[in-house]
Amino acid sequence: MGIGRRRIRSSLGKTVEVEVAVSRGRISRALISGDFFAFPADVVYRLEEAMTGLPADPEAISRLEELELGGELVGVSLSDVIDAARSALSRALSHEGEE
Amino acid sequence: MPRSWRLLVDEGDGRWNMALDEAIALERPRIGRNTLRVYRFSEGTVTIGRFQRAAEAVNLGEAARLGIPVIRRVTGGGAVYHDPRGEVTYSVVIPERELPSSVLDSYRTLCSGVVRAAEILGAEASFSPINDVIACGRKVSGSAQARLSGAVLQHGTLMYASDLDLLAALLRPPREKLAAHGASDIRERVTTISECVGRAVDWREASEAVISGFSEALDLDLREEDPTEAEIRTAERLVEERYSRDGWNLSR
Repeated sequence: MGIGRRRIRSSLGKTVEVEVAVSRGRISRALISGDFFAFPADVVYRLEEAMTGLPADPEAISRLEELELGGELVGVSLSDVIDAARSALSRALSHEGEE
Repeated sequence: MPRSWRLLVDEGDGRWNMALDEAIALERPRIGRNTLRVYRFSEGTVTIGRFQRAAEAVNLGEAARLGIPVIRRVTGGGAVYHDPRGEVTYSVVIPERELPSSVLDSYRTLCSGVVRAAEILGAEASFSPINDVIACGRKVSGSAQARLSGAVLQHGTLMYASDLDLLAALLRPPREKLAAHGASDIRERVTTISECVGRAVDWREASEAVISGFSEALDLDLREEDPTEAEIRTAERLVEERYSRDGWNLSR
């Protein structure tokens, strides 16, 4: 299993960090954290759920751009979250097999 | 004509303070009135934003050594050190429909109460998007919102004499954030009203300024009341189920 983390600072000065764990070619866990806002808070949990189970492939993460958020992120954008997730994934893949 | 709001003035520990703020928002439909609450922390407390990782945002070792509790808020945003002898804390509960639809504008509207409070205390202050108020070029106030079943909860701080060295020792802002604000150190990015105006401001003066600040900025007719029994019951439940549990406070 590989774990990767990446933190991004948005143009509005807030930060978002995504941590993903990869197991058997899939994202087995995703955690989105930071000092941003989400209305309602479920938006963040929904994104984490949407990432979990995806193939460990940056293309699959990019497709989250089309996800219906059912709310609003403030301080960071969905693109920031996706960029951080893609970068975290590539780090996770490069670490895979190390542990 | 001024709008009639409830005013609550009280003091409690971190768990109670966060629980009561959330309870006021959850009970808003039944209360039918907007609330300004002005309060203080009975002991030094760190609160963290809903989505923060506790270990990333806070120096947990230092907090444990000093016996300072770390409580996760229902609102987003960053970590805060609440000084029992240096901060006025406020919360506002108002229906979403009574605020500008843009979140940024809604922060600007409600933070105008804090800006006015700082001005009353003699500081030149301004709103700094997304959620800060600055005086003397540095942050003196941060605010955070949650939206709960049609009600907006915004709570925030006004640091009139907070121990900024302790604050800097407890909080761990990400390097990227400091660079963005053009400061190399958290201590250089924050100040207090007392430091800014060059005289010692106390709780009484600062809390009265916060009440007057909101009243003037939002044109309110404030009536001091007590929390309702339903609010207290809900807050007690939230302390029990949420704010006293590591499963919530340290969940990320």
